[in-house]
Amino acid sequence: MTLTRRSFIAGTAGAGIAACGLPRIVLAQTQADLTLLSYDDAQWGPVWDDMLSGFAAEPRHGVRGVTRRIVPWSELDSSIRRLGDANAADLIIMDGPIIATYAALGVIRPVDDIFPPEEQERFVRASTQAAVWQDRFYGPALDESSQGLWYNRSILDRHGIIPPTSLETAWTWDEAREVFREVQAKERERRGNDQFWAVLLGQQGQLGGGQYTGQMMARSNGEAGSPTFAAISEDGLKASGFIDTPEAMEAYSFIQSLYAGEGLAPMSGTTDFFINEQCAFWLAAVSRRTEFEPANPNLRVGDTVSVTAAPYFRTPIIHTGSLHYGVSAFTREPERALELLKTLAAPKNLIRTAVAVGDYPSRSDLIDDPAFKDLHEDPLNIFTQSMRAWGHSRPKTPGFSEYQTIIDRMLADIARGGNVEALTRAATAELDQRLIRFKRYVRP
Amino acid sequence: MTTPQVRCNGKGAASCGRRAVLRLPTRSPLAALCFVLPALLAVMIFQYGPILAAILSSMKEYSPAGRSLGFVGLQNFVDLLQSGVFWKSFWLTLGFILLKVVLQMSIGLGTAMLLAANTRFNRLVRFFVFLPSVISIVVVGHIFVYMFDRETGVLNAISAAISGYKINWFTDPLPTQIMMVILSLWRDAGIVMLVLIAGLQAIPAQLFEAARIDGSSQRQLFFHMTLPLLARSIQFCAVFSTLNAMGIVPPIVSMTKGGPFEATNLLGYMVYEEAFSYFDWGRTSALSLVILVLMLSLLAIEHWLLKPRWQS
Repeated sequence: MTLTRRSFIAGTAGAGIAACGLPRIVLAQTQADLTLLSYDDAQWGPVWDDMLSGFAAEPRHGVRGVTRRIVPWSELDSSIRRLGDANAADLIIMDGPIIATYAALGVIRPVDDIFPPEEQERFVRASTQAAVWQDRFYGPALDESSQGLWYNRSILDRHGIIPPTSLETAWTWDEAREVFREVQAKERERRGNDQFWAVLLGQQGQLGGGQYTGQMMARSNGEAGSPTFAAISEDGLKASGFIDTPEAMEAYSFIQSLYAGEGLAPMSGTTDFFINEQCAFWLAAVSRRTEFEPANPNLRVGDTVSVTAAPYFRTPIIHTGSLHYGVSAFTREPERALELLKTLAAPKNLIRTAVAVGDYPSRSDLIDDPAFKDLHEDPLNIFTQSMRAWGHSRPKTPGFSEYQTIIDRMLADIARGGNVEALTRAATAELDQRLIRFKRYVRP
Repeated sequence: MTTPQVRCNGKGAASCGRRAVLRLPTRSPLAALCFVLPALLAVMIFQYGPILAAILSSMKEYSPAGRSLGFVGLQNFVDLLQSGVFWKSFWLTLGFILLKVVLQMSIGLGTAMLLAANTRFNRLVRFFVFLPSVISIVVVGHIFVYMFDRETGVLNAISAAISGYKINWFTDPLPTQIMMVILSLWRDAGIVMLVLIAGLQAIPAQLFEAARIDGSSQRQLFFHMTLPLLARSIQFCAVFSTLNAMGIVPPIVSMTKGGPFEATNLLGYMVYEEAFSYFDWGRTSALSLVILVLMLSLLAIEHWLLKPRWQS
């Protein structure tokens, strides 16, 4: 049989139609009763899949299967907002700081009927703070993070610098800056070049440390309970008077001094400096060890790498971070969805999810589990103490995406050497204007 | 409309041993419409449908979850036109497009004239000039980070070794804007060059020969023959460059996020931020329509400016 153009086109079209039909057949065969909307996480993905198939395998749950719908991390937020009757998922994975947004917009349902206050108290304080909006609880966390000041012990030993080993003796930022100046000058002299910096702020490569780390520094310049410490009004709708106080601006100026002022932090969007041993300190989360240990065999926690408490100005604070399970307001299977939620938030599963990424479990009573033994030993126990004593969720507002975008940009431009007051005023005005939009979603 | 027929040396189709020709039953406009309708519908739905949807969305207010909250008339446009950030971004975008188009055409024409001859060396160089055009724009962004990063970039390593001075790529507005222009030119240089080479090779050599015999200088040949005869190709390249200048959003997202100090906050990036950071679909649609009008105006001006003289 000779291949003619006509038969080639017909064959290609037929194959195309068959290929389009195939997924439908596969889909029909694996049709599930429940859906979990998640993102493509290499560490958590297999754990979630295993837990979901375990749930479906138990006949008492009465489900044929649980499908994990996967979207890229960058699209998770918009995918959750778009949930509706036509685009239903039963359970979702959601980032802690944005829970207030989803709760205010009504795309998730409160779950305090299965997590009453006494049950909520079992969770780490900061993770519960993140999950509560207007007195309702919206979902248990599946991990909890903590921040500290990682340091390269080999470099510091070389120059006889010994950082504090307890929260009580933690550095203030002014003390830390003195050490930064010393180690940078000595190490640059030893290396004979300027490709070494004292400190790296934050873990996403944002100049100024971004909202997660940089703003934590600014909050610490206020007394506990002050507007500077709160960093947003109680209803989450007003930034003026909170992020533009004299104390906050003083902290922003300090951040600027680390970058454009004295060049103690690299003016770069990459985060490899600590991994490449071009940086002595790194203010970042506990889970970063899963990044630098495999990347550089010279960096071993407890041996060549250690950690000290995050420095502060007036009030010690660290921003924690957590991902949470939530139940979609549009679920067609609310009872089964809640059943799945309870299973995922069971102690053994919370241990699994925390271990998978090197974080803490979200429940306080699980932190002492043998699975987290290394987090209770020196030097990582400083993260444990920080989380318990200084841990706070990020400023709570239904417009968190707006808040983060504008604060990130403001801190980056401040780090680059911009006028602190002008940039703060502009960011505050823009934020106030953006947050007005949420007024109708907030109960007075 | 004409009826298709097969000519077979004056004989009928059947008598020359070929299959009978399909004949349209009538010359009815209705039959013609039936043939055109599917394509027409596809164009209406997929090309003009989104524009109509954007027009409708631009006159509505949306919740941050994307649900319509009702009509607000032209309020989104009013808000936009009263915003200082918008106007700053508007002039920045206009300047970027003009600079990009002028430089792209100049560089493209220069490389096309240098590499027009079909030698083995020229073909190799053309391949390397064309290569960036087929690299993903996201990858291009990452390549530029490694090249231009202030502390770890290759360019600053060279600059520091030679002069002891580092350029503030990504931290000062002007160097960052220059970097974005370089990125955009580098990415599109290959396609513009190929189109112009094709245009150059399509000009009959006899024309140049005749002009030379008549005593034309090289300068006269370029301005009075090459450029006018390349007008169509130049027009296409200008349109292509303009559209690509507006589409330079992915590297801004991955590299500068509109900064430093809003220096790369082009209108395209503003749309991205309104849509995916602020989730304001009404403003996003209004901004998209403003961009549409801007682009149509620019393309109309380019069409008028670059129209071949014989079309006037």
